Amino acid sequence: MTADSPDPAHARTPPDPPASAGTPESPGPAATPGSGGAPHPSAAGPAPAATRRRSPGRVAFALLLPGLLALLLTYALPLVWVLRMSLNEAEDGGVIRQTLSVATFTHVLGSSHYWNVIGQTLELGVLVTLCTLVVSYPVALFLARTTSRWRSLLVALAVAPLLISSVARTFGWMAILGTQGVVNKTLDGLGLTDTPLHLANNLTGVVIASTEIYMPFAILAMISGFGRLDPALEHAAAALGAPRRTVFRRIVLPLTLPGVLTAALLVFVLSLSGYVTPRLIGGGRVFVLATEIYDEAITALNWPVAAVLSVLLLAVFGVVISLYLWAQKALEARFTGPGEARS
Amino acid sequence: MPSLRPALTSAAVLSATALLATACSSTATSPSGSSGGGGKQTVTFMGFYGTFQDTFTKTVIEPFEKANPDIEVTYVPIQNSSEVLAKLRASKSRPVADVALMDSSVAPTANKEKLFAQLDAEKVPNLDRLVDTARSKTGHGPALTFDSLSILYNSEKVKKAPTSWNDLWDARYKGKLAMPIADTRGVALIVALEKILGADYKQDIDPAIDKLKQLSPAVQTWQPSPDVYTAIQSGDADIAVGWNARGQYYKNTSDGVVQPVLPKEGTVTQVNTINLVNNSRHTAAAEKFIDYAIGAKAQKAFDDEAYYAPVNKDVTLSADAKERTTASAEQQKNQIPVDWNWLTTRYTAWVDRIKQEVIGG
Repeated sequence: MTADSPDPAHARTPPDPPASAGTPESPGPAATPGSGGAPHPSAAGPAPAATRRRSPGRVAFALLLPGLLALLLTYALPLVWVLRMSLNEAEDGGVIRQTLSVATFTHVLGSSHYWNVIGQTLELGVLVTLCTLVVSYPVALFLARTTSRWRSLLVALAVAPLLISSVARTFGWMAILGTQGVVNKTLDGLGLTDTPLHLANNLTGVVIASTEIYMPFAILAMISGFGRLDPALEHAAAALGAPRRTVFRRIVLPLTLPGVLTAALLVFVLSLSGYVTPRLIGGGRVFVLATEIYDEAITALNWPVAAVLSVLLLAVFGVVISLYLWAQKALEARFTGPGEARS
Repeated sequence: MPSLRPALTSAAVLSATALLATACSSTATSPSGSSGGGGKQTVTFMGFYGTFQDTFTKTVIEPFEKANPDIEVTYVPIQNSSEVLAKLRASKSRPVADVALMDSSVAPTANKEKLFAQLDAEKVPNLDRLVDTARSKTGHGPALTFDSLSILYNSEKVKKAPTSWNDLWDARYKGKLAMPIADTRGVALIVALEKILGADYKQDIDPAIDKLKQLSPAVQTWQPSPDVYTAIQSGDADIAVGWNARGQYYKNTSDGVVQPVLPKEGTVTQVNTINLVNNSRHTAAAEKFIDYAIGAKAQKAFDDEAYYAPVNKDVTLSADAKERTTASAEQQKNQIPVDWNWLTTRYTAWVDRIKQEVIGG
């Protein structure tokens, strides 16, 4: 409920929705007790050996402790709080009724509006991921293979946009894509269009701006994932008479797929939780989970619904990460599994 | 302040009685008159950020501190009313503020949750001097400012000034409209449209929603960035709806490029209330401050500069401010009555309808 003046849209760095911090990444706590406890029953032999074997576990635990405590404070506790809030119910006017019920979940999951929001979030994620991969792949491939002495400089240039806040870059895109923007003025000046193209204040604008904003992440992820790519293999294929297209299809593409997969995951997850770009350039027409969580919490004062949406966003993350792990395994199997079997 | 207290207390134990007096008065909940020897009370005030803060500090807080040398006011700038609600909910027993502003569509919730205290008319005598619409029916914080919804236009692009809400539907503005209505502005606009369409917003808002649906294809953006006033100023949009006070501020700073219009059919008032926080440790000083802020002197000084309509009967604004707010005779005649207290319970549903049926999410 914006009071006097302050628009929610005016917020320069809007408070992150609780879930956006929730790229589930906590293998830490699960791994520690397992590795510490495992030697215990098996090492029933000589006592000194057991203590020697146990102490590295303790050291590891001690070393992990600060990180775990920080995670507990900044990640686990807020998450528990959000989960707890999602089980409350909202009354008229934003009053929160403390209770333990799934009524808010049923309300959200029974509403076509929220399904639309989830659908649009996924649609935006898929579109942005595809566009980003298509435009980043050639750049990353070039940067990974080039032997130019300018290579480091070029890599630095490719990721340089990260130095500018995505808010500023989104505003830049608004200046380019708006009805008064560079693109429309040019098209109009050349007599190519009569009415301005609708490039901003809609999904198109969000996809274009997000693609550019996530490109550096995709390029970095791809370069570091292109480790298997070896020029010698390409030369060998070419020497055996494969045309360039076949070399790319049979050698380069399969070898770079793990990097592409990592980049896809990164960009998809980032765009699922992205708030700034849909909010600023979406013209109020693009409803995604992140903006909806903000609106529910700030405009509608409906904290339970905001919490439910955050939990749903987390669930979507979980599904996406599982899909990624599965795809990665399948990919690894293609490289190593049958190969080992054959040799 | 809270972190200072242990230090203050220990210092008092260690040293002179003068310090002890300071420590006493800073924790005193008794009338502030007892604080004799230089002991200052601090009232923490949560108000809106930006130009509101600048003007309010200059025209209300500074004169108040001058008149009450034993009270100091700390201004905590906030983005919006829901931020106040969140902060007070998180600090119920030891609140982080003594006095807080809140939109009248949010305040009933805070009142219900007992975050705000009722005011004692004896301690806040100016409550008697308020116009009827400024009073709280439940005895909680009264109105501090009356703002109103207005039409904004860019005077370089729009030659014939709009005068009526119906002008928004003019075909000339197709694709040039900025309509940030998925919030309080939309709720206010529905109330205004219902009046024009001869309907009752407490019964059925379908007429207003249908009317807004017709406007939908002409809208360029439902959420201008960074805000609607700069979108009008830069010419990204030609015409829009926005709050009058801020529109008048932009009119001044843009040399008249941004022009706010209060439509001839009348407009809907937006109310910010000033509230005493429950469990405040400086109740007496806070009451004094609230009393001053709704008093005639402060109201005139603030409203003349910030273009709000006064909540106090005894105020006559400058001719300029009167003309540019709902304090003008013509606007007074056409005020569209609105029951924000009742609307609190419909707010979310209305905003959802705007989002789902008008914008089409």
